[in-house]
Amino acid sequence: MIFPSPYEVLLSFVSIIRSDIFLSAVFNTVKTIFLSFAIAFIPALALGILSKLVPVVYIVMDGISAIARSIPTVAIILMALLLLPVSLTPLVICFFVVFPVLYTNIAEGLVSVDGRLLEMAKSYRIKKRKIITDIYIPSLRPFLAAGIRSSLGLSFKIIVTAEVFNFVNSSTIGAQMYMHKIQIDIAGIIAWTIIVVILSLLVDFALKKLFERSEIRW
Amino acid sequence: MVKLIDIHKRYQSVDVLDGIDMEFEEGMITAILGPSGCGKTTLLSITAGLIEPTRGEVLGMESKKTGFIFQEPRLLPWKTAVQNLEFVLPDNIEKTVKKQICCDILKQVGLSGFEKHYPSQLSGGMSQRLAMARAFIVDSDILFMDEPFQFLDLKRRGQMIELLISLWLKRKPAVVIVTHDVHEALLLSDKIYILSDKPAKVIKEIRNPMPFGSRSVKNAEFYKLEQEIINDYLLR
Repeated sequence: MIFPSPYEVLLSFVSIIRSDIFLSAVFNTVKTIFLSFAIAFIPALALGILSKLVPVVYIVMDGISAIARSIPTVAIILMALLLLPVSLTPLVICFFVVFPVLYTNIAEGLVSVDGRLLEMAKSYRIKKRKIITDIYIPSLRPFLAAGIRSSLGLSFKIIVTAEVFNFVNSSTIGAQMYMHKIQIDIAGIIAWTIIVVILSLLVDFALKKLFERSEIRW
Repeated sequence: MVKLIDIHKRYQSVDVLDGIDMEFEEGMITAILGPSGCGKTTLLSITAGLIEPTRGEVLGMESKKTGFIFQEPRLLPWKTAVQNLEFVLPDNIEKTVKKQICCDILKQVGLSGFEKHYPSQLSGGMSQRLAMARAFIVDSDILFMDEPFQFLDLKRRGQMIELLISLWLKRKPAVVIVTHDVHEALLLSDKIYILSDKPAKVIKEIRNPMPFGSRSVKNAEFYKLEQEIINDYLLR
């Protein structure tokens, strides 16, 4: 087996971009990434807030998320493939990987809110709603930014891996990579890898800009 | 009038406050003077309703508008000077009115032109002046001050005391100031409570016989009273 030259990779890259499957594969994979991210984000936020209010929840969730983080991703993929409908596997796998990262960032962000600022707000009898919008949310923002950026990056890797095992829908990036693997087309695999990296970088760049715009000078 | 009746505070197994009785009157600055670590800040926090006493009662604080100046400015780092002031103003004030009120008080504390500056762009003294502006902007009935000048140098401390007096004279809210500095207490307050070491008790209540204007080290009475407090109560 000969490792492809950059020129061969470039040719493969161009042919993939021009192919009919390209847009639908990218669309399906990106859709799954954002969907699974949203599914993980909502409970992570809810449990993060709950863990701030109820110390027992913080202790329990700290243990659960530590365990979830240490489970090998491939074990989750194999179990999900055996136990769940194939179409659901990428979502479930992504949830298990992304949720602990997001939860930990949100919970730690809420724990690290400056108690002296909360005390100041209490001394001026500021309403709870205002304390949430003007102290909690701005304090949480850097943790949220870090959590969202790292977990979306992670989602790209996990979803594509899960799609490699999911043969039902061939219109995904992972399935396309698997096709190239069957054909022993390394140039094609590298070209798709480059596409994933570009997509991941674009999303990360957009998020960085988004958070920079709302960021504050302090 | 705000009254403290038999206030006790115990942290784990340590008694911090041991039966404190005090009265804070309207239109009067009251100083709580005592050695460092004797529980002055704890007493102030109990009075302001930030922490609960183990035993005892705080009367007269219901529905009172309060302001607080802490040892550090405690400004919101993600808000500009004006936004930090707006944070403590009631929501029902119209936005343009709010801005006007904020600009007016910033002028009074010498921070005109710094409306859009963030706390990180202000010096320590400027931040503390902004914190003072925040305390006075709410038209509080009672204002609590926890050693607000202790991190400032002598010159800035003098300027801040002058600024505090000029702001206070406009409405004369009740002020409770915690300090370990006898000079500061005599310069600012009409009444001084002297606390003992932990567990703190009131060992002396002094009415300042000198009115504003005559409180100066150049005044023999001021100097005598200062020495008396130091020798009779703080060094004994």
